[in-house]
Amino acid sequence: MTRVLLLFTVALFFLLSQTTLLPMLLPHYFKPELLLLLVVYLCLTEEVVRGACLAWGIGLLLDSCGGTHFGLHATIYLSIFIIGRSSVQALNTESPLLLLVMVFCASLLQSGLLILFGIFADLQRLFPLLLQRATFQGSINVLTAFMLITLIAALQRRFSPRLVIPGFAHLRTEIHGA
Amino acid sequence: MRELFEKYWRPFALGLLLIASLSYYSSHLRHKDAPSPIERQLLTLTYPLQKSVMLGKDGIAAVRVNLFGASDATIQRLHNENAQLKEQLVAHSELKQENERLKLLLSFRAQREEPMVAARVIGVDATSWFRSITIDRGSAEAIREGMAVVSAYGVVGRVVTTTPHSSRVLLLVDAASKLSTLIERTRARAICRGDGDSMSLDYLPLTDDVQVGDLLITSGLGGTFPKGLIVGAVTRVDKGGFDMFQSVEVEPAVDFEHLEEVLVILSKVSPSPLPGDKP
Repeated sequence: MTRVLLLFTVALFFLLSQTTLLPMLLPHYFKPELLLLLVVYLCLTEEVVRGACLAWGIGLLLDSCGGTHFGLHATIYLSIFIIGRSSVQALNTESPLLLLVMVFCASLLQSGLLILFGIFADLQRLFPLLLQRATFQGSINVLTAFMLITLIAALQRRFSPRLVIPGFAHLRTEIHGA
Repeated sequence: MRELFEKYWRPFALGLLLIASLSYYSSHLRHKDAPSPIERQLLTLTYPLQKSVMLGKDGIAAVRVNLFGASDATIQRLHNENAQLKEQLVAHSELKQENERLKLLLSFRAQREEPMVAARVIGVDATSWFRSITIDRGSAEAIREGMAVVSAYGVVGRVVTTTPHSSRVLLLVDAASKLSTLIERTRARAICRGDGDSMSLDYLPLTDDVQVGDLLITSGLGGTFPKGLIVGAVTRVDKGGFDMFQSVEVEPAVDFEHLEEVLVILSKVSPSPLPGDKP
């Protein structure tokens, strides 16, 4: 329960960053999707049913501050979690850079699912933009994931070397080769 | 049967959750003009956080201006004074810009007959693909869903969700946005729709005269936006191809990336669907 609350607090902080903090610092076209990174992290570390519920909840949180179709991102994040989780079982999780590759794939998958579910919501006008920017957005998300992991690793080393973040030590080792 | 369920309960639960999520999404699609209570609750939850970040930003700016005190050493003092003056200059320039923006808003408000409420932008859309903003005024200030939002430069969008102290505004450039407009020079009528990043005109016949630079204003149809508000200017006209209608691109009059204050028009008329709307 504590872990769920902690993840929810992180999601809330990420949402606040996406809507208020980052737009003050970054140009409008550079918009990292922090909540998507959190969903990918859930894919790698969380228990299946609890992770799915969390991914859906994070999607609802995003829907409350983004887009006009409530439930759209919740469905997309849940689908990404299910697909991601199934892939993790088939992939070699010890492979380096797994998280970054998964973030890129999740970004592309999100665009694809937006097109799929957007058909029902009369969002056809968004499709050219989605196709045009999907790779760019994926690259932004990968860069953000890399920076975030580096930052968390540095903070952990500096302030609390004994702290264990579930799944994180493994990812950090894989990405930084430490 | 029980053994089978015990073995596959996880995929079963995931499938059930996915079906529930899709059903919830599809039910909301049918009632998209009425925001769900969960949406309101979540927006209410995020409002104090967004507001406190904005207040924090203002506070930091004020502290930065006031912190630079004089030192005993002359060089240090001069350095400090210089820094202080620079900070004050930046702060004054910021205040001057804010003053000018508010003056523009006030003069715009004085020109219009409709009652309006001024609001501050406290957040932008959380996604990369949709375009909306969150403002710090809500149903406590008589703001309702469907009301028009404008700035001194033109139309901004319309309110889609309200909570007691905050509202979400769908911007004109969002792919779900549409608005009945008139070309000011020729009075030709067309539906202006958002493309995610820009806008374009729908259903403008090939015979209608439209040129690059033509100004677009609201037609007043639909009941949401009063007639005569500036929407944008035509930037490209394409009459080629075999379509019945010409392809026209429009640049919005408002710079949505640097929007800080807006006005909400407190209309009493309930909006009726646009000609292009689906039933």
